[in-house]
Amino acid sequence: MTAFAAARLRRVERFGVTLAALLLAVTSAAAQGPQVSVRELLQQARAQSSAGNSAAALESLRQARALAPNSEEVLSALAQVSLAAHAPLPAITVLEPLTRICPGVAQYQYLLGVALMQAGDLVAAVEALQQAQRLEPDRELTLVALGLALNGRKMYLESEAHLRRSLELQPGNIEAIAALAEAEEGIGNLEEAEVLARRVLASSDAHATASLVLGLVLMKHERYAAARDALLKAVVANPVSPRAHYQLSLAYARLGDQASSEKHLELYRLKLREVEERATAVRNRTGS
Amino acid sequence: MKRALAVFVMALAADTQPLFRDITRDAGIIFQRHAAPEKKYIVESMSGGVALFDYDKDGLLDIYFIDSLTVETAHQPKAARSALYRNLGNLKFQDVTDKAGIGHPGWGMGVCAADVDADGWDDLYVTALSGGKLYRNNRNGTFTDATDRAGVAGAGFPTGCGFADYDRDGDLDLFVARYVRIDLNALPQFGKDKTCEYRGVAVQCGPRGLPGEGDFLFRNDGDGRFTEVGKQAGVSDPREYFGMGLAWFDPNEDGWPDLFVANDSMPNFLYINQKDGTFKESAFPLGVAVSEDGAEQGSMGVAVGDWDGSGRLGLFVTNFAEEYNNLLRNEGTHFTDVSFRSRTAPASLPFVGWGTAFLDYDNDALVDLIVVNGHVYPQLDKAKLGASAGYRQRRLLYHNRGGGLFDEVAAPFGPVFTEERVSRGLAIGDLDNDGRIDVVINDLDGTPQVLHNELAGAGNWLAVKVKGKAANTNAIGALITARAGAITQRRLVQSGTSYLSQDDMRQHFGLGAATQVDLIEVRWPDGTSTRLENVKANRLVEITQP
Repeated sequence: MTAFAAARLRRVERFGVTLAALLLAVTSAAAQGPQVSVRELLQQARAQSSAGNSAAALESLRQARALAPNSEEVLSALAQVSLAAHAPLPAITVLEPLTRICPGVAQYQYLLGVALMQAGDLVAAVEALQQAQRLEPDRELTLVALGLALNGRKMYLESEAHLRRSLELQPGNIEAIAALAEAEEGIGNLEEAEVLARRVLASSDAHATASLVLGLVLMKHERYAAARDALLKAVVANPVSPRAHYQLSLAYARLGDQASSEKHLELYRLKLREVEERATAVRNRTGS
Repeated sequence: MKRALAVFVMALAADTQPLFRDITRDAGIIFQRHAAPEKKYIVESMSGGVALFDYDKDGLLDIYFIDSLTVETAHQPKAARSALYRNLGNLKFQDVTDKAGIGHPGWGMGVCAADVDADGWDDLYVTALSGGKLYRNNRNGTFTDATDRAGVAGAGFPTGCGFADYDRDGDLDLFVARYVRIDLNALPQFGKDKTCEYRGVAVQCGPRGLPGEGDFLFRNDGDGRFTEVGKQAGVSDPREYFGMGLAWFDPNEDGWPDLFVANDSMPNFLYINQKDGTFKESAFPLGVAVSEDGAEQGSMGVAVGDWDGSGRLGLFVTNFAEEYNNLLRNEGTHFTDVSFRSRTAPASLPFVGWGTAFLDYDNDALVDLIVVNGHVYPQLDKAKLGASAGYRQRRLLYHNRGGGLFDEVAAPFGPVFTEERVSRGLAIGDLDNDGRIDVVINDLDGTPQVLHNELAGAGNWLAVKVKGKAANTNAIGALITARAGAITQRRLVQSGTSYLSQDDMRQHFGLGAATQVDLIEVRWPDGTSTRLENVKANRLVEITQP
């Protein structure tokens, strides 16, 4: 067994993959040929990724994949670098086989869930994240991601439970607090949502979700000028979100500023089409 | 804790009492819809409506069920038979379709009622593939097809319809929504590409990926003829969205009928009447076009009601699965989506919603809410469903607890709510005039359901029938306000309700413990008002416009 395979064994054992599946993966990787080159490419990709050059890292990993198409380590690295580069489609195309090769590895289900969420397929994302949660319960990252995906599907009560558990495990997690604020706003607990959103904004003034939640709460309290200001911060923090532009168009409409309302309505429509195109691309690639 | 919960659940089960009883067979209703088993084409999934109206003026609601053809029987108009059932009293019905002559409108979709010719007898408009039918009531148990003379056939794939006097000239005009462009000789191939797949399973194509169709507004010329004026009026839908259910109502209370149109997979429309024969589409700024997070929803059915006791008419819109049904509060100047805050949304997420109505089923003076569901893809049961329901789906019944909150309470009321079916049209009305609102449902597959309200201990009630003057004899568009003690309720007389259906035009008020209504005020469609004071409960009151 090479040092490379041994390292993989340790990592995979940590995630509870069966020996049979592991051997299959090792055999498969060994049959692919020059492992030294693959290892060099992996090292090179790591260095490129650390230097912030995602494009170069992805290219190195694609070359590695050409040499070792079923290598778990290559596929995993490719998925992670793709996700870091906000390129969910390549991530999904490698994570789907990876989850089939290693069905007991929670991390891959988690990454697949995150990738699907990035791509806008929330139904599949929730399924993957729930599987990750079953494989490795009470993992804080998974709980937060699951909360975010459930928020996206408007299943706020379910989301709230996961997010509260994640905050028990890591009380100060800003992303979890922001997601919980979103869930509370969805449930209708507006006071709780506002408190949580303001808590996030106190430490991260430009937080997109917290700004959006605050804007939604203020809209419901008919404090339209304050809502507009919060929503403006939300669109700056997350310019691709149709939701923030839509709410902003409503805020301007309530304030009587028709021109700005129309402007953000158009931006909303544009962003919505972009979201749909991404979702269509995912469906076409994954058949889901 | 678990033990306490179990005890609570057992106590709840022991307290369960009958609400609606399925009397379909006992009532003598044997209507059976025709439907293609596989629903390979979208046109086979969308029918049909049901109407509750009193065609023979005997004071009892009659029922008209819409039937549809299939692609296989598309050229055999008599392969489908819509059915009119006459209410004989004592909850018995008789099929009078053949005598009435309204059994074969074609590939039926929806229905709405109105006294189009102002003779005091209700006529019917049926939306049907390739053109609608106007059936004029002959006052002798028969109807005459007056479509061609009236000029209201339209064309294409009409869905929802509704009459209103939008120009306030005294007579009733007709709006017809349309869905997708369908050529029966060149149908989109089942499962042909990714737009014809759902969760990886081949399904019917559409509506996305298919061309849509614009809508029609037929202005009543007052001489038995109508003129299509959709384009001039600004309601023709030039972008050809996928129109479904609709509601004429007056959300801004300026006395002029406005129009909400539910669009499938596209933003909804809210046309605000400009009082000069034209409308301004304002759904986005008024907050009723899309979901709260800006998502375009697959909207199907619409209910209008004063569900929060504010005196303003809000909206409830049913949508596709994974989307939520929208409960929209009328703030006077705009609408607020309160679907989650009201607790109506979460239970709706797994279902494809269709027919819906606000109804006070327990007469406690708060309008409750009913929704019937059912998917469009029979193939769905082979797919990965996630949290979604299958092809057949249960119903939703929400009890209004006041304070803007609803509880979903279907399960304790048994199989009429929990049995999984593929429902479409729904209409409400009091079939036996006992003061408790009944429900009639037309399913896509199989038999309909007539659900008789048998809730014991329901509160007091009042039913109001209004008679308008001039050509609008049903006073469609009239707003009725009833005040009993501290509670004020409002109802609207509508033509075209729910999903492609027609509710009883008599308006029902639950009164709780109140034994009289202190004040009834009718605001007539022409803007005048009539007031009645100290009206005893538990009876039908007829109010005629002076």
